[in-house]
Amino acid sequence: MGFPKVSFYLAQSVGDSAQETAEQAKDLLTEITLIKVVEAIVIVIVAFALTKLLDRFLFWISERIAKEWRLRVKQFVPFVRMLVLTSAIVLLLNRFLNLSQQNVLAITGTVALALGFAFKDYVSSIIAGLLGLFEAPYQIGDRIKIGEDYGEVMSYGLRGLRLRTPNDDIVSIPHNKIWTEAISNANMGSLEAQVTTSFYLEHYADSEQVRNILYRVAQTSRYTQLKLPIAVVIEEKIWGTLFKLKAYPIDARNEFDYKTDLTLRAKKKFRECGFSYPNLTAMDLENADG
Amino acid sequence: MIIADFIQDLADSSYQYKKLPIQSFQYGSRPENDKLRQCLQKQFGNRLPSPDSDRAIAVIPCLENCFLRSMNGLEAIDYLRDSLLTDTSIFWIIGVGQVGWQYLQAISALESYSDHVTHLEKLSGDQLSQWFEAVTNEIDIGFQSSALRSESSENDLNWRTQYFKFLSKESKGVDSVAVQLFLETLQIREEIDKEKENEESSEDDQPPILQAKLPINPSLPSLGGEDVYFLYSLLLHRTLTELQLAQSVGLSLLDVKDKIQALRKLRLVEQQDNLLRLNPAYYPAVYSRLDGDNFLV
Repeated sequence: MGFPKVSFYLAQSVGDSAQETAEQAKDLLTEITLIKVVEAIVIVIVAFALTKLLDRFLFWISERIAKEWRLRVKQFVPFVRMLVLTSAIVLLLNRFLNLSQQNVLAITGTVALALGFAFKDYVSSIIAGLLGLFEAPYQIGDRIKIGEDYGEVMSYGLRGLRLRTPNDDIVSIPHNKIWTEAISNANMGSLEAQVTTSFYLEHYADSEQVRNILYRVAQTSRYTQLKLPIAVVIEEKIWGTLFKLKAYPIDARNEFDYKTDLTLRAKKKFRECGFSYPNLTAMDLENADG
Repeated sequence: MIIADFIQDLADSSYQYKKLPIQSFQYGSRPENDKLRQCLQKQFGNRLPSPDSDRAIAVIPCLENCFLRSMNGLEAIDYLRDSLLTDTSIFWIIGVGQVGWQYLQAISALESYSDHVTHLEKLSGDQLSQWFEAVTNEIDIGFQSSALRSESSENDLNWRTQYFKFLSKESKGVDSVAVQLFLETLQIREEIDKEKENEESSEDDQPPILQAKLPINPSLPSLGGEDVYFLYSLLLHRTLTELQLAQSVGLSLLDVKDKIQALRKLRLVEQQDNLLRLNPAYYPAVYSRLDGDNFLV
């Protein structure tokens, strides 16, 4: 009977392998002493405090300098965070692991396998975040739309970003969305972002007069960036005429105030000129949507 | 200087010139919004050629008085551009500030209608000194100060020359800024016990009654988010009433009153006869801030 013999060899082989792994792990880990543990705790605390402090300092300073520098300073925040975090990890690894070439090779496969299964999404987000630092599909201060969420990027973390929506909600989105979702960025690091304001009027409204009014509305708004072009797009619909006023605010942050200002003043002028709005029934609306 | 040179050239030349009728925009302050166009039309629109000439010179010393950044406030500029500037029988001389010009250029492309655009040169220290002579000769003002000595690199120090050189640098050569800074640097001598004074010094040794400190541009105080829009509006129009300012920034009069009160408290805004204006001493700082904040200046 050959079975027991084979079983014996297999058992011996598994035993050897386990012993080998244990020895490798022993080689990999350095001696853990109380001082090292205290040092590690100090490193973690200092790194955490430093990240928070630098974050606060850079945000504080970015709100006090000229606006043209605001976004540049804020965009620097993720790099500073990454630098502090990397330094802390290197210091920690150096204290607890013998990072020789052999050891690094030995643990790479194991760690990769473990992470691949247990923290797949987390690691995917971190890698996307790192790539995002250089590819920059969005940066702090940009106004972006990912999926259904639109707002200003308030922070760029290791795993994800935080968006402030027009309703003042904070939405956390993992960076790995950049693999699968389309990201619409309105300003790509610049202060201005185009704002489109729609106006709906009856077919009878004099389109040329309306267009001139809309130009003037944009030219006289305190928020308008006059270095950039203003455009009015007119579209005929079944229910009336749609006018789209496209202009840039001086600071993209004022997007919603700007839209309100344009709407208020345009409607006031329309009232003075006697323009009327389309009068739609629910059925008309359904037909228009269809 | 350029206009003076031009007139001198005319006088020196051997050609014969006849005097042209000159018509100047008479309004020292901004007319009401709905009358802006009417005022221009009244003054220049129905101009009849004078009996001995079919040409004329028209002068608008302060174009800022002809517009207000509001829905109806730019009609006069449209009228000027479309009906007046196209009249080739009139030679137009129009004065406007840098910020106002940039704004009107962006919305009306006024430069395309102008043959020549010239910027006033910055006033040098010598020019300022000459300009202030009437005042400084009349009143005894001391320019000597330890602060000025430490700022000056020259060994052979003429206090007055150095002071105005410094004033020119700080005011960026702008007349109104220089005047304001000059006034703000003046300090009056404190009265001391007369007997003690007689004991210590003779009449000739007494320091001047007025002493000019080192002129230094004030730095901008911390401003709220909306404040810069108010400052831009004041820089754009030079002077505004509260109501005009409200129309220019598109806010209610009540909102504007509160903000203006806060800016006046910071000495950024001055009020004279219901007219608001930016404190000229802050022009350089406000200009630089607006430039950094992405405004068209």
